[in-house]
Amino acid sequence: MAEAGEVGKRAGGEERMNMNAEQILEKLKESLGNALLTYEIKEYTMGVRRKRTLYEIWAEIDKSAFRKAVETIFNIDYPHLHFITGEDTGGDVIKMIYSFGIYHGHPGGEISITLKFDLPKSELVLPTITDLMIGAETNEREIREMLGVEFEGLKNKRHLFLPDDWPEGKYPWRRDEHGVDDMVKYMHKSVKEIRKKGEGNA
Amino acid sequence: MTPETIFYAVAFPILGIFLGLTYKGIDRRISARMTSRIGPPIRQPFWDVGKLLLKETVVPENAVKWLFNAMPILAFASSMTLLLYIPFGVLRAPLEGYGDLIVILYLLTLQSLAMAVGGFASGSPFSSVGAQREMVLMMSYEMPLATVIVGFALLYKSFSLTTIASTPVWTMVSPVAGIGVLLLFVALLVVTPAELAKLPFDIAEAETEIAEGMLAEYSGRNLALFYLSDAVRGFAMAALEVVLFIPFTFSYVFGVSLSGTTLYIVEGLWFLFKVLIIYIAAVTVVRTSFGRFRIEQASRIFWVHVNLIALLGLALVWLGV
Amino acid sequence: MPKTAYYIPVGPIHPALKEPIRVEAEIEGEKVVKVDVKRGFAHRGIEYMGMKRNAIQTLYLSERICGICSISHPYAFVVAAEKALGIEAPPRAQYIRPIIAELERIHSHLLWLGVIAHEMGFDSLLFWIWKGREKVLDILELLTGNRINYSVFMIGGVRRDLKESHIKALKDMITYYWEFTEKMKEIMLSDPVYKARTRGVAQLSKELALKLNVVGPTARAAGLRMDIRQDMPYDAYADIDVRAVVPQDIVGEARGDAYDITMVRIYEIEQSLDIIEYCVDNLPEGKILAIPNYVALLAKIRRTKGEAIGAHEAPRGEVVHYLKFDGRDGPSVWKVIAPSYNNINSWAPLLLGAEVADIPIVVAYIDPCMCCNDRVALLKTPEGKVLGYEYIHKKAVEKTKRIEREVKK
Repeated sequence: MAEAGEVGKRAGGEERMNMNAEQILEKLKESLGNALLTYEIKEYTMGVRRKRTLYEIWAEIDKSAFRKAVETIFNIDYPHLHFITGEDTGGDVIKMIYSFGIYHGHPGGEISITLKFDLPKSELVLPTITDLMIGAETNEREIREMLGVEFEGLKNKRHLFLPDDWPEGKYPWRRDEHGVDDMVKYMHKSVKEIRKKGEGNA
Repeated sequence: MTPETIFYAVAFPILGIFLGLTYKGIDRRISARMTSRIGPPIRQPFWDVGKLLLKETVVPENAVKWLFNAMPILAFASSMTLLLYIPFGVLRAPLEGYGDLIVILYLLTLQSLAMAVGGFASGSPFSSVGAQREMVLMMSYEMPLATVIVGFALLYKSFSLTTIASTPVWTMVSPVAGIGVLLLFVALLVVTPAELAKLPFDIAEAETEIAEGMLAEYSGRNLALFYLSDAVRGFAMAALEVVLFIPFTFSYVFGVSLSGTTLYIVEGLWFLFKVLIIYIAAVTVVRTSFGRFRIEQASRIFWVHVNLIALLGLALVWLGV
Repeated sequence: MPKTAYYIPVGPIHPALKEPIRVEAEIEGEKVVKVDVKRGFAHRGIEYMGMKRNAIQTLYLSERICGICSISHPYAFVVAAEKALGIEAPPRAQYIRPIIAELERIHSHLLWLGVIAHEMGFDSLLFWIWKGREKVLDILELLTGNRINYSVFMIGGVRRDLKESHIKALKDMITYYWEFTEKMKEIMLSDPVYKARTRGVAQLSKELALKLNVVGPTARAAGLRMDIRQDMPYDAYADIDVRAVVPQDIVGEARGDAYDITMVRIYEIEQSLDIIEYCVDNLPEGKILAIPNYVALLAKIRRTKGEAIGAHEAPRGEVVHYLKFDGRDGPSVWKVIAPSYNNINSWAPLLLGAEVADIPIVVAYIDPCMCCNDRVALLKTPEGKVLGYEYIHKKAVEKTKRIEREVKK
């Protein structure tokens, strides 16, 4: 992990030469090797009169190389964590998505790096990144309660958004038997429709 | 004690409550207008008290019940008594001769003390923090307040308010002592908002920090009593300042000689007018134009700045006598 | 020594908080020695709802995430959706969007400046600032028809055009606010009482800000030059060259305290005025929607498979939306990160060692917006059985009827 002073210098880092998207991708390839499954540099053109191109790196990696990939990003530049999320398509895996932004503070130069990997439902355990970035605690706690992914090394495991008496084994974003579809029956119905259905059960 | 005194003793508190609430209404209205709001009608404080009296009085479960209920009464009684020591213009104070400036000092302290004790007794953390703050604040502003009173004792060789009221302070001082008295006046004006728990020194009741602090657990009748004693105290404090520092009568200022009922009415209204001016200057304008201080900042202001002003004033008075 | 620690619960309902959240502080004397932040009192499961609806419904649902940032969430959503769909909004729409977004920034910053004044007991300042805020709300109503929840963005453009009369009103407003911010600088930044209450309060160092992942004015006050409009420009922002407003550019050094954040917010209002002026002066002609037919738009979404990240610099910091279209007419995955989600991280470290009087300022400092902190309430019988909706509704009706009977008696 970078020293505090060094971190500050990097954030200011005007005189430092920045790598471009290809170089970052090379660096990722170098450190991950075969664990980097697929990758893509997306280019978006923004602006009306002065067109600018923004780069995003989207990489699919192997689960085992996750920690290594994050450390590589932290070594390039202290990043900003955009979000952590996961997608449950109902199968045996949860697709985890980590999105970092590096080189913020450089006009038009922020490059976002998105890491995706499959996490088997039989083993929902990931190493924490709170030792690298304290602020990631919020994100990890949210993922933990919404998807049921355990984070090794996460200190505070209290519920974040869900109440403390939330039932065990229910995760709102899951689309399998752990989902909450049975708890949110009437989300789209009006009071009238429910009334028409008659007196309910307790 | 003459029948006249007893009549005053009954009439004064009623008048005091009426005036206190009216002044509070005027204060709220002017403050609203200063901040481009319309503001409540002037009789709003009366409605507030009426409504509070109708509401249920809740005593928290872990409060010391008798202490919790006794403190509003104590605060109310002390502010009523305070009123009886203040000469209304040319009218003499009902309790004249039964006490002096020292008693007034104690009565003023007693109310703050009653609120602090009530806060401690209510057993809520917000009230406890509020009461702690009130104690710290009291210790800070009592010193300049006492200095002002000592200054007057030095001038008049007496603590009696009647003696002080009978001779305007400005007519009996040398220029040096005059500056001293002026400094004492400034010190007292700064102490006023703290004494009345108004901005910028309403630290003990800070709404956004500790949710009204000492008063957090009070409701219904108890809160109404605190509300009334606060209103009366505001009026009494301003009246005290008028008696001490602006004693000039209507006849003296405008050079007219009046007698009989006209004298009493005109002088009475003139007195109320002077009190209103002081009230607006020391309370309304100040509370509208300042934010709240932190407790240690407020303490520093009183212990260092206000104390310096008051002591300098005292020294000048002492030199000038 | 006797134990003198008190336990002070701030929230979920507390005068210092405008929205429900809970800070549990243990204090000794006036010093805070232990803090725990509990969120989730307003969790409405909006992301869950969004994954069940079509994209246009979700766009307006995103507007309801927060009443104050009611253009920021749709903005991030449309940016993400346009990236995923590969469409581009017409130039005129790309200039109208920043105008609305910057108007919102002005009103949000003025709101915060008023609130921070109130938190320190300076109510007169609150009234004065909020009186000034009415002007921008009136303009927003003129432009969009609503004071909040403008419903004016659409995937691939905007739904309302700017008229000549609107442009004139905007120019008047710009003149008005230039005077207003000048006065505000004088009243807030030069005021000794304001300075005494905010200097050194809620001080966040640059390193800690980076590690806590804070965003927006909170990060900028600490000296981090981060602003989505600068780092990843979109729409007309790419033409303008927005630069992050940081205290070191204004007074030479960034201390990251409540005073600096006030300064950042006041100067950002001026920056917004410049941006609006540029957009109004250089407004291109043309249509305002790329795909005017919503049925066609939804059909295109249904045909699209793809994912994208959209980010917008909201008044409080960056809003990030992640979208995945997967054969449905709405997002199959939707993740929203609101600025307060990250900024609340700063409470625990900042409150430790602070004074009780500073709690409201620390709490208000980041301009918390519990928009993504949602609530799920579980009603249970004493045996632990979860009660259903029908049962609760039946009981509510019974109670209303009982009260009606009692009142009639």
